[in-house]
Amino acid sequence: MDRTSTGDEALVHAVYSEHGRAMLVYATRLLDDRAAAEDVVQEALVRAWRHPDVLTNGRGSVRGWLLTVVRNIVIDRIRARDSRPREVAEEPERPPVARDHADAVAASVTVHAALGTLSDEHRAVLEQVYLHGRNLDEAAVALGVPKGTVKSRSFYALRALRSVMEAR
Amino acid sequence: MTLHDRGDLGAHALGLLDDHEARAMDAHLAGCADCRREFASLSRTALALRDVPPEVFLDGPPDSDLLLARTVRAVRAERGGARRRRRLALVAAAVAVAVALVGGGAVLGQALAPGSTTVAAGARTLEGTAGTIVASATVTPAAGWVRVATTVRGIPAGKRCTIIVVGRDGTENVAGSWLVSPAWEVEGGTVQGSAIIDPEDVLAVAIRDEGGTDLITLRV
Repeated sequence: MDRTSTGDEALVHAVYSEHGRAMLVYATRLLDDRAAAEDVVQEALVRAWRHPDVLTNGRGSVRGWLLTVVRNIVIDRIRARDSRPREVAEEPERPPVARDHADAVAASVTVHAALGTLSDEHRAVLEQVYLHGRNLDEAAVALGVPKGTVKSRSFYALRALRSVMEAR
Repeated sequence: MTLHDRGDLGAHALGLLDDHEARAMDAHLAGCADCRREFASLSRTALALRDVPPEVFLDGPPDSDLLLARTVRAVRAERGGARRRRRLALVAAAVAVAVALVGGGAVLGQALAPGSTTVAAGARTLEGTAGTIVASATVTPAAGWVRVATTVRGIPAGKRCTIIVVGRDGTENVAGSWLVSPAWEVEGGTVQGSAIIDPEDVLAVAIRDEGGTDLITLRV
């Protein structure tokens, strides 16, 4: 696999300019430490560069992959810092690594991919609610549309998400 | 509120209705099975969104480009290093074959000839032994990541073990870790883990001790 340095840098640039803010803000929230968050994002970007194939799967799942990688690096760092692992249960049927973690990754990958298929209008409504925590009046003002429009868009946004998630 | 005003169902599922509207909606739902079903389903979708970080809605680059410059330097450095590592890996493989021919693979403490059998669609089970250690790992593909169920016995009690999923390009992903108990040493046990790696890229699953030594490596 021969990749030119220009190609490599173009890839890193592209991922950084589209997803970098989401990655950095997320890592900063998890770690409450901007410097440590930058290290994590750098490592996640290097991993993305090593796996250029995942970057061609569409915007939603790419961002999902990147944010999941950020989260896993944060978890690995916290695990590495914890020098006293707990003794595991004796019963083999009680695994020390909870399955729920894996299932949560699967669920969030599906949701990320579904979010990537939403129209800008529908996505914007969910952004107001989930990212900015706005209520109906605040969302209507921020989006510059009547409250009734926010309501109907929220309905169609959820329906669109549901149909994509059920299809998977 | 009119009957079957579906737009309000979405807003209600997102918790956007004010107290008065929410009460009216709940009163309607109590008497309308159709709307109740739709509301339950929309609520599940709204709930699933809580599994993703809200930052998923942020677009664009960070507020500073210093991080970009650092990352580009790291990528350049690694590209140089990767070439060297590939050469070293070829040398190491040649040495391993020579040792196996002369004195048997046990010298390396690694499973050099593991079995690989298919148990389910897409899942692969890797098996091997190294000294007293008997291990198998079932790798099940998911969308862009893998589940790894590792069953192992014969590792001395007290060892702190980490499961490492090794990619074709040499990347290592931690899939889980545990502390070997006395019972586990004799009877063995299973650790479930997961790792972000393309299922196609899995080259090996290794169990590593706290000193960084691979106790056993199961190759695909």
